[in-house]
Amino acid sequence: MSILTLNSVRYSYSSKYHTVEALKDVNCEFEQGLIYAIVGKSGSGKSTMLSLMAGLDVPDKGDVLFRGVSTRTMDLDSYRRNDVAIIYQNFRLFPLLTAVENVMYPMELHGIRPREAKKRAEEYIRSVELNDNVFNRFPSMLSGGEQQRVAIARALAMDTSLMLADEPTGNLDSQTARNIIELLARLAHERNYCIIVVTHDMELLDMMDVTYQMKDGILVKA
Amino acid sequence: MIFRNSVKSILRTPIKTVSFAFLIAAVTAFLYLGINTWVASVSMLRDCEENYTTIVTIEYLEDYGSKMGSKSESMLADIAAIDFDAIASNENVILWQPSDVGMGSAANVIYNDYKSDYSDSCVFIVTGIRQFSSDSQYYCKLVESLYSIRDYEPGRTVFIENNFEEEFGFVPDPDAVYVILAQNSRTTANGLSVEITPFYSWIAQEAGVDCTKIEKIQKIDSAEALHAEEDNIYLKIAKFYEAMNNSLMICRAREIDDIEEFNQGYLKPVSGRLFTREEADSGAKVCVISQSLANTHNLNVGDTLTIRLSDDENATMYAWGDKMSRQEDLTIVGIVNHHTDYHRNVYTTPVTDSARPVRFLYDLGQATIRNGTAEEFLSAIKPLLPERTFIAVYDQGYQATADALKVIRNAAISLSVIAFAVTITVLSFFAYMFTDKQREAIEIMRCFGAKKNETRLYLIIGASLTSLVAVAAGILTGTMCAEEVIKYAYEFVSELQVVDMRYSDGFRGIVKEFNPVMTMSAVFALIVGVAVQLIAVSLCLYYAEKTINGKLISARARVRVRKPPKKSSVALSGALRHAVLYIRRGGIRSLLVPSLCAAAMVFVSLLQSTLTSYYAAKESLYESTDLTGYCAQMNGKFSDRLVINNTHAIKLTSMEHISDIKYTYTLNYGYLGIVRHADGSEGQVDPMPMPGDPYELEIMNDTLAAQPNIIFTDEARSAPEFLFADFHADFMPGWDEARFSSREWEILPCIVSSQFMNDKGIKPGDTIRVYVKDYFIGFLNFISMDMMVVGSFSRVANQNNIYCPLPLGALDPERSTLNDLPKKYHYITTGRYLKAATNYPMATSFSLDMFTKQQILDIILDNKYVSSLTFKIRDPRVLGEVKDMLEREGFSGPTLANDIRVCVVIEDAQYNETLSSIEQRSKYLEMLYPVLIVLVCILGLITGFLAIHSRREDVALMRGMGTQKWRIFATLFIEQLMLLFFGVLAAAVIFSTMGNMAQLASPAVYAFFVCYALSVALSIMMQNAKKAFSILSEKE
Repeated sequence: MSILTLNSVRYSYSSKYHTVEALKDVNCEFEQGLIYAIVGKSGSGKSTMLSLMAGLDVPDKGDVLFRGVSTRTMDLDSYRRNDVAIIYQNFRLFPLLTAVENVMYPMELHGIRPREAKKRAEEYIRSVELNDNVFNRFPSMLSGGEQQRVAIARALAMDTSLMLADEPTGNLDSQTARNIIELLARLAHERNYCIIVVTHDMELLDMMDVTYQMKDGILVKA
Repeated sequence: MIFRNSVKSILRTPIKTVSFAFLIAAVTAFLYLGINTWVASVSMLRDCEENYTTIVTIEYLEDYGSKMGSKSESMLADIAAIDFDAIASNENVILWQPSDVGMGSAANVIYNDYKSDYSDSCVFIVTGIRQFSSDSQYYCKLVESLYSIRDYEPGRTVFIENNFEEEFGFVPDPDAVYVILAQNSRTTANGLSVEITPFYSWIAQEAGVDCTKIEKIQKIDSAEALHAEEDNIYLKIAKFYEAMNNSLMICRAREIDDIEEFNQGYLKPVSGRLFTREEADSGAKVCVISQSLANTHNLNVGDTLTIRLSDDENATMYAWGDKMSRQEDLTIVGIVNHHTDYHRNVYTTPVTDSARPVRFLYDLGQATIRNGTAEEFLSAIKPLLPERTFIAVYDQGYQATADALKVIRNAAISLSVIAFAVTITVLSFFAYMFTDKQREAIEIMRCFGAKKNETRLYLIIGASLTSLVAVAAGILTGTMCAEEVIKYAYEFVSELQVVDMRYSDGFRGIVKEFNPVMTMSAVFALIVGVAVQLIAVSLCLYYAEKTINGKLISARARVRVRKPPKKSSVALSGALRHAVLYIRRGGIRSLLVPSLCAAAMVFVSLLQSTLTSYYAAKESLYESTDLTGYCAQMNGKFSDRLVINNTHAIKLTSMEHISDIKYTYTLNYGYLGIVRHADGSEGQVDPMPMPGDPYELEIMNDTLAAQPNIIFTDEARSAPEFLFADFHADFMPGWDEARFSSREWEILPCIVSSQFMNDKGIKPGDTIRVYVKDYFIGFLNFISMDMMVVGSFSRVANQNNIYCPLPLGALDPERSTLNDLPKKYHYITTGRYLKAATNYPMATSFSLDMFTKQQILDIILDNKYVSSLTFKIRDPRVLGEVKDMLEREGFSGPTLANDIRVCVVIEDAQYNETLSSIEQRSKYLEMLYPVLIVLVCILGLITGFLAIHSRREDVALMRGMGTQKWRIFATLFIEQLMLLFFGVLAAAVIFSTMGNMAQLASPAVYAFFVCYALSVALSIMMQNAKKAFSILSEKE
């Protein structure tokens, strides 16, 4: 069964001066154990689709189904807390929390005590191939790659089956980008995650299992 | 192109441009108004200085009795000891004018003032005194009128109202010529009918003339023979009457405009002018007279008035036998309006430069002083003056006006400084924002090879145009409002400074209207506008340089790196954990909120405690102040010779809030002797004087009027005699002051001066007898009073006064012993005791024995007048109410006549000044207080909002990770609340240091706390209410 299904999803943005139809009748399915790429030009609606899949909003028309349950009917906060993890292009780490504390955060949301959460956080950080010396650093003291890895560790700490990454390599150099995507792919294959990556970097597509292309608000399999 | 692009950059950011333009216009207007108000108030103060004249008059409080114009030895000694040169040379004195007032008369000026003291008196030479029949009136022919206020031609028939045989014991010889002293009480009638009466004058008595020995009718050989006698008494009497009735007061002054009656507006020129200072200094023979004098004697400006003066150059009053042979010819330069008190005055130039008053009644002189220096001047001269001095200050309202203007000036200076600082800040911010926001544009221009000058121009043009328009708008707005602002400020401050001067000893005379003239200067406005524009352009240039040189860009690029912790924290859990973590790692942000909170709390508490201190100071002033009031002469001078009707006295004494009332009645007495000694043995008393005829009675009454007084009072030590000295009394065993003051006496007790006791051989316990004028039933000559001497006192007055307690019913008819009379008298109220007495059912013969001593005294005093009255107002809070009551009842104030011509003065000047100072400050703070509280609240609301607004990324992140809304709220709210509590703790420490922990209990100090917390809560709720998507999508 698909972990995430989009049925005839439509979504538009309205501003004072104009309305933009970002998604026009998007249909697709996503399964666990695979890493998906959604590519397209800037402004094609990729990030919008990701946001809908992340439960940050609900579509104007159609449905986003997580394990068959529409996001319209579920508690979106709970969905984001328990079922989906998001990795952002600009990392979005808490600036005043150390790397470990950032990774501890979602575990604390689930009621895990800080000491236990810290132990697990350190493990997660090691699992994303970071050294112990990054544990107590603030995000501003880490490089872009290190910050993104911490963000991935945080996403792992959320212990969900679905991971969404919005341009995770956008601010990274090409080698680091490849390393990050490799890590994500490994997670998908080894830990049975469904990982959906929005990117405009075509050079990373060879590491993806499935590639979708977003064109004028419509998603097609590439 | 540069110009076009620069203008486009302004027009395409309309909100920012308009906001800044508005802000610059506002601060420019503010600055202009501040400076303009400052300049205008300084100019108005200068006008004020020129518009007002302050004078200080000094008067000696003499104990002259009925001899108005007489001066006692002690008065002369006191005045001789005054250093007038020191007063004249005081640094604050512009001009010292010693009193120079002397009696004079003018040739051909006969003052037909039928209110003069001797207007009825006449001295005639008559002949042919006869009767038509034995029971008809006598008549005669007038040979010559030696003196009469009206002209009578010789040969005129004169009717005489006397019965010669009965009154004089002889029948006049119709063929003889007589000189008669008479009273013509119908001077306005066509007929001439006189009553022969004796002559009495204290002036003659003091000159050694025994008036009792002057015959009222004297046979003479002829009119010529009488005139041939140079020292003839009747000629002297005629001269005396002429001098007294035709007297003018010759007042000499150097600066006539400053003299009180002119300074206070009582007298104003109706034609001609006042003589100038130059004329006075040069000794010009000019004068100013009253309209009534001019009209009566057909005098005009330019005419010559010849005045006759006493032979004695130093004489103030007419001396007996004075020939008044000195003359001065004065040219009339001005005529002033008629005024009851001054219509006999002739104002002329001085003849001496001395600082000492040469000719004076009781006014010693007056000083024209620099405006606003009254307190300083009074402090300097009071040690030079004796206690018995009355000083009055008349400033025409200068102090009140100047104080208001000074408040405005000082406020304008402060506001100008603040406005300048705000203007600089706003312009700096404006310049920074306009240039900083253009940095990308500058980078692009430089990339395309634009020169530095061109980029400079690009930055300056737009900003300068914006500031120019804004400054112009600000100046225009300021000039439109400037006049109104000053007018409103002046009215507002004047109102706040209004002090109730009714009935006040601080009353400073008339208030001259002051209409400040404000001329708006376009040049001044232009200067301010240009200055602001120059500052704006300079700042724009400064920041433009920094932007062009890249310094601004690099400054923004610097990132502050925090020091990392040694290890990640596992302390606490949940929302509290993250709240504490953010506080610990918040840096400046974690210090800012507690600091603001503590500062706001301390600020508000300072405001409150300042206000509280003002209230406390006011309460302390109320508690520590007892106000004294007294009845006085109409000019506000204290007097113990007032004529206060009992009805008016009762009105005053029965007023609410008035207490400690002390009043006196005075009766002139003649001493008769000791009736009975203390051991019971008989003493020796003279018989009561029994005048043989009404004329003798009249002389006796006149003589009695110059004698000392029995002073009836409820407290001897508060009597006017002891106003300037301490009261020392010794009482015989069994008596003390309290017993002596008690009204419940059976035998009237008294205390006499120790001097009197020694002179008359009186011992304590002796009963003495005196006689007084009959105020009991009105048809006895005199009434005797026996009183027991129970003590003695050290005399302060110039005569031997006797002090007695009041009867029960004095000003208290309810307690009058007359109420004990068997028959009820409905009209036993104040002023009606005489009627009650005469209506008392009695036997055919009326006898004083029918009444007790209390009753007799009740009646006597009820038919007299209260001579002095003092009181206290124990609670100054009710002062306004008391003044309202006084006004409603019709009592007069100093120089302000009302229905009742009894002047009441309350010594509240000092109190008013202190209270006014406290009240003004508290009023200003009371007005500012709510505004400042609101500002503190606004600060709290804004900082709370900004605190959460700066955390919206964290909120977005938490929402993105599915954090519950309550947890987001709890995390942020707990964090901010803890910061606020740290601020409260800091404030508590400060309060503790100041010893003012009670402030923590005041709700107002938590204004910032509450508003900040409220704003934080609302802001978090607003963030939580947004969609997570929109938060994450927000651009910076």
